[in-house]
Amino acid sequence: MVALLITACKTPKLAPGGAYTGSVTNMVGTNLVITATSDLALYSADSSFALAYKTLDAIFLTERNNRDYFWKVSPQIKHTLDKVRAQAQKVVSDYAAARTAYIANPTPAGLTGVQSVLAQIQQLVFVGNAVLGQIISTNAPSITN
Amino acid sequence: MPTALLTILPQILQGIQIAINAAPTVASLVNTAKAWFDALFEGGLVTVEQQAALHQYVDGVVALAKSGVIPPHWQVESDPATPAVTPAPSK
Repeated sequence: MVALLITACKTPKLAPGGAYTGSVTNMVGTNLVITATSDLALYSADSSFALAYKTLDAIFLTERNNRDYFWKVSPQIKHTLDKVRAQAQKVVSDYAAARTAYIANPTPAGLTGVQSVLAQIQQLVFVGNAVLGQIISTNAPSITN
Repeated sequence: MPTALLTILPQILQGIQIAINAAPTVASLVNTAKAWFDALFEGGLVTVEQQAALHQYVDGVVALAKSGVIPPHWQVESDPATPAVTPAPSK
């Protein structure tokens, strides 16, 4: 357990030349100095966003593909997920805007904006998981997925 | 077999079928997420390829959002038709 915690707490590094790394050129005296930079915070935010997006996508797809079944179980399932759908579209657009703005001008305030939107989409994932998870566990106790 | 069980059995079987059908989607989701998070939690080096894959994926989602294209299963659709309630026969 301790080893796991130590491993989990190690700080990863981004390989130079990747999509989340860049370089900054500065004049030091009469010399041009190129310094490699990496944006691990954006990589982490994008990782979390991608996972949240894919999870919501799977929830929405499962409900739509099996709508008749879920509707018979309870119309509330679709109604709740419809509310999540409406909010999810807005939050994804908000993330797109915040991320684009941050990439254009990477400031701590911009990163906070990205992370704030990320928290909203994660909340939607929580609601979506709760709705489908509760229904599946209630109606088919033998399902483990 | 109790009548209640016979009534709910088709629902249970349908639920199992849904879980089986959804399994490939879930497996794909887990594998993708694992690849992205492995590097973070192993404290290793996130390769150029891993960075490119994630960046391209999010860029795609961002482009989709900006274009206004909404996947069908993300859209709020009308409710399924509810079967008409047949009035109980008068006694």
